[in-house]
Amino acid sequence: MSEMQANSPRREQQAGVALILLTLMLMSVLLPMVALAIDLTMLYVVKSKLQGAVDGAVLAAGRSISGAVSLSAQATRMNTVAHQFLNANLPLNYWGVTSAPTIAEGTCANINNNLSAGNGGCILWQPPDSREIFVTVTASVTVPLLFARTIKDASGHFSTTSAVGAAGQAARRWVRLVLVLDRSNSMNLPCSPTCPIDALKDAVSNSDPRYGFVVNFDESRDQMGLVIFGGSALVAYPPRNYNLPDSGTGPDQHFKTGTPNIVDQVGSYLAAGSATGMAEALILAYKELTKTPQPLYYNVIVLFTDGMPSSFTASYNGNPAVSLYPGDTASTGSANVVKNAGCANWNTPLNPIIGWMTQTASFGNVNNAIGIFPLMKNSPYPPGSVPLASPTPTQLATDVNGWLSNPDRDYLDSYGHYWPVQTNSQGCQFRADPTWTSLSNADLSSFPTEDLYGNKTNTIDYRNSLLYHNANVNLNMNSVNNAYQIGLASWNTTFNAGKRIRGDTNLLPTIYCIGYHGKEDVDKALLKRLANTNKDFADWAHDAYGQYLSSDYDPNSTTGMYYDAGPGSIGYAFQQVQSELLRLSH
Amino acid sequence: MSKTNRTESGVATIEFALTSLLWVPLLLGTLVYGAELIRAMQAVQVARDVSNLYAGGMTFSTSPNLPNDATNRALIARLGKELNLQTSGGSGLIILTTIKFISQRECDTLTSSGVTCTNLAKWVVAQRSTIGDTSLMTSSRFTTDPMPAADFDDGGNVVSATITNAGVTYTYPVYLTDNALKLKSTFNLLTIATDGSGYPLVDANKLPVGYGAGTSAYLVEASFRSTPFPPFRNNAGIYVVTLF
Repeated sequence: MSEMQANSPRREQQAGVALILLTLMLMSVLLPMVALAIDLTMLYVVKSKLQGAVDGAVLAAGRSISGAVSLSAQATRMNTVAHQFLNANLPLNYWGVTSAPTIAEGTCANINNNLSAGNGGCILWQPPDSREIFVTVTASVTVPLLFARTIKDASGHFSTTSAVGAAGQAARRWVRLVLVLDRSNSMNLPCSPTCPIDALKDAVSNSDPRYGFVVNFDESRDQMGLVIFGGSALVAYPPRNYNLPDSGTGPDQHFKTGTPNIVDQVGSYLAAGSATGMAEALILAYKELTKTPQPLYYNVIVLFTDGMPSSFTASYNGNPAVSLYPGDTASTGSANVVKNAGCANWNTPLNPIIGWMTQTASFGNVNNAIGIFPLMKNSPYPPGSVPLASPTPTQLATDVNGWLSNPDRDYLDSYGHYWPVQTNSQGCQFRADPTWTSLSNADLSSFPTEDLYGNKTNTIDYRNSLLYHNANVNLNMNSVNNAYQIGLASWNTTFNAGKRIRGDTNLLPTIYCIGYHGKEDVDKALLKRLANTNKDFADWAHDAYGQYLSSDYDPNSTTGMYYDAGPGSIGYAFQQVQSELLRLSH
Repeated sequence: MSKTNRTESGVATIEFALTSLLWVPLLLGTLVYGAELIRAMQAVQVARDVSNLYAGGMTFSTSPNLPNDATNRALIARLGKELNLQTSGGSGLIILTTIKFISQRECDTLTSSGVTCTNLAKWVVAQRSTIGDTSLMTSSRFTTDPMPAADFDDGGNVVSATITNAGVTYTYPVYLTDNALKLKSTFNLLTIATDGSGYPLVDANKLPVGYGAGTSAYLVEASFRSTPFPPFRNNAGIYVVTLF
């Protein structure tokens, strides 16, 4: 009893101690730990979200890059776009965030862009001697604290908020581009609301960046070239020696302000006429890209056309016997297809007989006169090969501007006389009479199996063509005087040209195509194949212009894009291409 | 002695019970809340990664003829493995939508065609892909689903339509005209400035003010199922949206 009485006060004193101790421990240890864990996790969640917002801002700002104006002017826009996407991705009240993210401007001095801080001056920059332009966004946001505000920070103060930061960067490769433009006769009509050729000239050369294509690229960074094609094709920029087709540097950086330049060549000189020799144009464009090759650039060919291939350039008597395709050792060239009967002296001496052949019957499955026409006077493969006519056709175009301004001069002189390849001294005529009304197959036994650049004419690829879809008649290599057959052979060369160009694993050229629906049908399926697009697959049910199925897409080749253009929308199609080219590669 | 023992017996239990009223919910809440925070962070990370790939040009269709797309879908499933994201089924869903703002500049392509540019000044869908369990969200928060299947090719891209008027053929993407492809008014993440005629507003350098009309933006919605644990967590799941 006495023990009990003696112990009782102590026991009474001990009663509730555990509760007190636990409460104290909760207050002093557990709760602060939980509070810190919650606050820190919250900060981490916000930081993770902010990082995503910065990534989105960087990419969106990068997609808005234009080469039309100075870096500082663009940086102002980048700043606006970056803020738009930051705010879209990190809305107010996200985990208690009460203010919009801010973009830091303090690191400008370290990035060597010659811009000043403020208005996004540090967002867009470009290191010296680089082939890339960078967009960098460093943003921060203030997050209110829930529990950690009860703890003093390192400076001994209570803080109710904490700053969370994130940074992101993306880069865009500079662009090395060759424009390939169709100036065939069908580009003249219909002129509603504007003649297609004029709309094309405006879309390419307009000085307003909202409407012009070339102006949106920057001469200090990007490089550009120009190939124009009718029945034959010609490198219209940069200037080069046309007797030396492999001369020159390829696309350069004077395409807007040089003499000459692309804006002038297209805007002032380009006129419509002649046929559609698409394969030669593509190969010439590719040859330009291979001159002083720049694998670090984004190598691009942009093809505009309003029709289907209707002509191709070839060597008809097997000379030269090898392909003029860059770096190609597989091609053996085409064998001689000149009939001895029609050209008794065709190989004495063995002069190259080179020119472009076409038809005049709108691809009808009929025999009509064809011609083999010379390339531009004094040009190009090999020097002096064509024209071989006598008397010398002095009225044929002899310089680039003359060729651009007088499109029919690739087969007409200034008096309207046809000037086919002809070797009077050798007995070859390659056409029957000046009116194209009779056959010329007396001189050729068949189509050459390759064009001048090694692109096959005799493959079965043509079965994907709109022509074959409409007529369902197989290719006959011996029907050299048949308009439809020339169309199939030309289609083959074009398709194979695109396939070979995209097969360059060093430059990785990407092809973008614009198809204009005007006077003539455009083979959308061919253009999609050339671009190797992974979008806009068609089916017969809703698309009468060609079939391009997802199974036709080659995932192992570079992927381009195809764009439709119609009356009034050529400029918009070019704007879409430009937008795609200038987006970031990261 | 026995009386005292009887008096004291159970005190610790009572104290434990009393204190547990405080710390058990605290502990459980911390665990549930912590787990939810971790899942939220994972969801944000997945959405961010997917958005980066999507905006960079990667595609995620179910077309059997696009072998890269199947590989890309599998990649996304691996990124969301911790959240049981699978290419189909599973506990997560990713909705990828490419969107465009249609200004008068885009509608000009229909000039003289006789076709009305219904979606002028609207955000529209240009491409759509989904990855995961489509029953998780039957509709995007920003589109009226299901959209007409005929509007899309097997790559998920909006198709073009063709019309001939006065002998001239016009081809145009159907997102210019199909009301079903416009985004709901709930999409207010991004504003495009246009002038009084509906053209993109430009600055003194003739650059668009801010993000340009007609340029694509990439919308990714990620949704993941949560196990309910009332009262700490209801079955709301996790939803993240990003715009790249």
